[in-house]
Amino acid sequence: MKQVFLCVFSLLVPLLAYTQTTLTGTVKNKQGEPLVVSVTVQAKGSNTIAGFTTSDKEGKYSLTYKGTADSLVVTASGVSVGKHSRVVPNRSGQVNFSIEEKAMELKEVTVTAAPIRRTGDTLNYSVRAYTGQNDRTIEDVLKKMPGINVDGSGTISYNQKPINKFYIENLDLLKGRYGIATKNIEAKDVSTVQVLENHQPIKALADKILSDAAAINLKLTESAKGKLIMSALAGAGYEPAMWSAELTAMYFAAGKQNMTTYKGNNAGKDLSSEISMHRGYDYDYVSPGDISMLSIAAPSTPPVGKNRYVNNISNSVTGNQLFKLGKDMEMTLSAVYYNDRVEKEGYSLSEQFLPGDSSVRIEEDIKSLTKTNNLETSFKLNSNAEEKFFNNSLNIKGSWNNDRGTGITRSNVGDMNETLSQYLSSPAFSVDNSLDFIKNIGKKSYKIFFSMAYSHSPHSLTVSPVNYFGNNSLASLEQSVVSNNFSSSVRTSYGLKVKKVNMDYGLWGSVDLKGLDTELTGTDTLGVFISAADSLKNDLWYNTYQIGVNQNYTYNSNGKFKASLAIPIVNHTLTVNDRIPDKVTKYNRWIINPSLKVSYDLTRELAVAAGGNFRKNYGNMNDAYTGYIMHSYRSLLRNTIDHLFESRSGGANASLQYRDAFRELFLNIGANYGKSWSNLLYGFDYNGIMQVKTTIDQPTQSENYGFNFSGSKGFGFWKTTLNMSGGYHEGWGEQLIQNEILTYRSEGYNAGASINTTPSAFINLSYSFGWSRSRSFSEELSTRFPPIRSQNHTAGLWLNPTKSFGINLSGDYRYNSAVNNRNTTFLDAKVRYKNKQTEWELECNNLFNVRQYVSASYTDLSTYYYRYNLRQRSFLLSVKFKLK
Amino acid sequence: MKKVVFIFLFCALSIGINFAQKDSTEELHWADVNPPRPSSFKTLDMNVVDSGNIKVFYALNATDISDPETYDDLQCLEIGSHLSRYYSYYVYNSDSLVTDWKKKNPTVQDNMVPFQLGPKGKFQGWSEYLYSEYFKDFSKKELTEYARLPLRFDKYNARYSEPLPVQDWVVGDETQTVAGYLCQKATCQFRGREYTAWFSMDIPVNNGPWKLGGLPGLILKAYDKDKLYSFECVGIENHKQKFPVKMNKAFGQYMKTDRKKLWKYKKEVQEDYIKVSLAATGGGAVRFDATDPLYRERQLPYIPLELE
Repeated sequence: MKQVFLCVFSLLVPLLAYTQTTLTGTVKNKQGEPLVVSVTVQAKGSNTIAGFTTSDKEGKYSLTYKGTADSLVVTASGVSVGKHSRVVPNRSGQVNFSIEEKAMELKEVTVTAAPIRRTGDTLNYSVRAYTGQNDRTIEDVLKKMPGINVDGSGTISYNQKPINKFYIENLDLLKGRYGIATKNIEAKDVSTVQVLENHQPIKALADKILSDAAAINLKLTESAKGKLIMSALAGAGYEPAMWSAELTAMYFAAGKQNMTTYKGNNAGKDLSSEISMHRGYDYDYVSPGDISMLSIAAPSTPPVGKNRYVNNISNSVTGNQLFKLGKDMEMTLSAVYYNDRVEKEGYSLSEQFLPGDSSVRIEEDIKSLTKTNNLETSFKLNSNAEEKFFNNSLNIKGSWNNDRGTGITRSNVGDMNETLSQYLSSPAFSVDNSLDFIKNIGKKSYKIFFSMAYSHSPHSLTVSPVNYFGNNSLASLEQSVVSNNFSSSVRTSYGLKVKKVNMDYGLWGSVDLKGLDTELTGTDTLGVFISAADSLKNDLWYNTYQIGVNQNYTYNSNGKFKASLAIPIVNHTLTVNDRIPDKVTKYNRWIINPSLKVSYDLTRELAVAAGGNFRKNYGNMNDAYTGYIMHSYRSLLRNTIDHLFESRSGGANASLQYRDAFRELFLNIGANYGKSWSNLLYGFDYNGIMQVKTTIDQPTQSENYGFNFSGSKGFGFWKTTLNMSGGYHEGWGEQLIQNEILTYRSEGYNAGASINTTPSAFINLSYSFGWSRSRSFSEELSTRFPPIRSQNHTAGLWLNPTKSFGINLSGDYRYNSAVNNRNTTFLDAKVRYKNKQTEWELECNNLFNVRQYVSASYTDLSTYYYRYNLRQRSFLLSVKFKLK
Repeated sequence: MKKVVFIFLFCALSIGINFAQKDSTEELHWADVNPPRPSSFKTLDMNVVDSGNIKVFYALNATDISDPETYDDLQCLEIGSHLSRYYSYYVYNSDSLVTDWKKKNPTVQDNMVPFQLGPKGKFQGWSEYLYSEYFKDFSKKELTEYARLPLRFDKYNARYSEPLPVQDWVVGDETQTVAGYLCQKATCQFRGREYTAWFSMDIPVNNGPWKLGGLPGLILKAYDKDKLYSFECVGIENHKQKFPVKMNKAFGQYMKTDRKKLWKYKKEVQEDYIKVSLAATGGGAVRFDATDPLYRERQLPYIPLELE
């Protein structure tokens, strides 16, 4: 067609040369001032110009057109004056423009780049590619990135493994409390999220000690760097009268970083997850002391969002400051204060079946009040150079917590119907320091680690009245447990590299001294104090001394095949000095806990990994005390066998991973197996409603295995992310109940999927479901209950009629086959409006006004049912504004 | 601005790739390196010479336009009311970072100051198309090039002005979409080479990359017939509030010359750059033998866009 046209055209050219059209004229604005602009001519209906010129200083122009079109379009245009066209017949003549100047609006352009890019072990996610209009914080966006998972507590995982480091601009400001960053840094201030795979945080150990965990680094936009960013939030609501307040300040520069936050509310918003340490993180502090032995019986909390059931007054203040002192040297200071007052109310009914057709049924209707005051401060100095690593970390923690519970307990045992009050005071104080030093000389690395920790916790639990225990009738019982713990360890190690094998040897010693001083005293109905008999007291020192040799062998073949074998050998000495019977027992054992990890990258995308381990364990202080301790108002425990508890366990796992960053496809299939043996069998007897621990000298075993898979895929289409996961697990073990050994088995399936999609700029949809089916039963009993099936579905919808206005509806449906009232549905709504400086939000929670949550579970040996009172329908209006 | 940062981040990756691909066993060839980068200059001392609303970003010699790692450079055209500035965004950004670095490390010796910071294109070393800035002055109808030369050649840093080059464009009827804009083809002969340009009537600005311009719409893509150099638009920013068009004060110190003389300097630097390297190391430290095949292999001819 074109050729034909050209032929005809070339024939006509000589003719047309004579039919040249000349257009002249002036271009002026409405005020009559001449304009210097481009003037073009084109045939009407054509999208290309045939000639052009520029008007001169007087606005005059002259154009020629050679062509046969009937009509011509003459256009005068300029960015500051706009585009003005006139249609004229194809005839020489004058075309004058008198135009209204109107600046042109250009459409902005950005090169389209792939949302995820890989360079070596680093994956770069473009934040912009995953940010929707309703995403505020970087956590909102992280949740959408394929391969990255953020669970309810804020823990970030990459390919199912929790991350080991979280950096902002390559600096670790928050030392594991990264919720402060993910829940406060705005998505628009971050340009790229980097996932650093197989991240070894210590540069001196890079390529020497393998890591299979990934780290996350936030790369900020240029405009967010080096300036103070401050914002505040204030909110009020009803019903009950609610308030919410926030003040955050942050500053990120090359040599200095700071994040300071205050948050407070009584609207059910959880603040503790934001400041909590996350699992899997590479910490540099000594492991925290034992969990309190004492507790009050409080209502079980339902598996729904905390904001649905918590009646709280919460405040948190955090301050984090990092100074870069040199090229590799950093100093970090942090302080976290958390104050919380939580009221709960609920009802529970549990029934324990006992051999011989009897059962213990306990009903509790309890209101509880928990007050928490925690202060943690830390000071860290860290130097991380290629050849030398130094880290000193000092942590001081104090907490002043107490729990109060009042309620009615009913039981079929002795027709009990009592109103009880429980009070637990659980203050704790601890200080620890650890020092880590690594030096590489040539291919060898030398390491020294030294740590010391001390903790003190004087706890006490008071219950009154106590008419349910034996024939006693007491006004109150008071259990005090004072524990003191001192531990210290020194580790040295030496590593060398021979070809592709890294060998790491370590010699270490540790001392762990644990003191336990307990007493159960009472007051009778006449107010007379009853001191503790020896059987109700403990004065125990449980001391562990360990000397060990570590051996780690790591093989790395060009990063494709990696294997690491660890064979630590430990000499474990335990002295138990039980001062009440005045008896000292000493044990000495050898422990070898080998473990092996291998991984192989079949292709750039596909990798297989497998691992196995075997370990021995000699129990802890909970297996050693011999005087009774009232752990809660109906649990009274002591150990009756003077054997050392010994257990062995072995496990293996294998997984197949596929990760294709360009296709945004991540798949993970895994299997695991575990078996354990121990020499003693634990169980519980019932004395009235009181649970009493029993131990028999009977070897026992347990076994479990499982399969799981997960996958996620990102689609460019509608910015969609799809996640799927599922699994199966099965296991068995033995239990001692009322002096009979029962074998219990459990099995379960679970599956889940979620999708998040943005069909257009003004709509975003998300949906997820989880399904599970589980049962557990005892081989010795003939009755079988049907499996428990549960489902939950959550759906969310965002509508954005304009860029500044958003409406959110979210629904949550839960089903549990074990309860009569099987279905629970929640509906929440949110309206958000933002302009440059402020963001308004109206939250309406629990629109259906569901007041109770009911759940139940059962096995062949016990049933458990509970009912929990939820927060009522409420409205909260808040405004967030930028201060700086 | 955000868009630029965005582009940057992807380019930042390319650095990683370059490092990753450098195999330590392979010795560095003379031929692998272009003339070294000029030393950075202070970006603090800038004069505001105009203000404008439009910034246009061009990829230089992209092999994959969606992948900034494949660009030789990212360049920017700032369009003011009567002046426009065309410069390498990567070079300017690196200069700013180095200036900032020096401010923070004031005691560091000059030879320890980094040459390059931040993202960069795949092109290594010096090229006039990275290190020259071009100012088109539409009121004076004049173009001025400020040329920065590598290392010790910086004493030959020079400027010249010439009448605003007018390309004699012939518009064609082919169209192509570049960066989302419908563009029309135009061709011209300019100083010994044949160019193809794609301009958009939707952006009625008679400007373009490098020395090109004069069409009734902005040139979004341009290349010479041999495809030695190609410029393609990868970003357009329309600033609601005017940004200043700045000129480095150091340009005022540049030696005044004419286009032909500067052409000779550039040719010498390009073709005899080992001299430049030696000048950089103080001479003597690196001995070279003019008959060494490596040296001869290294002698890259100077192939500029302007042949006359």
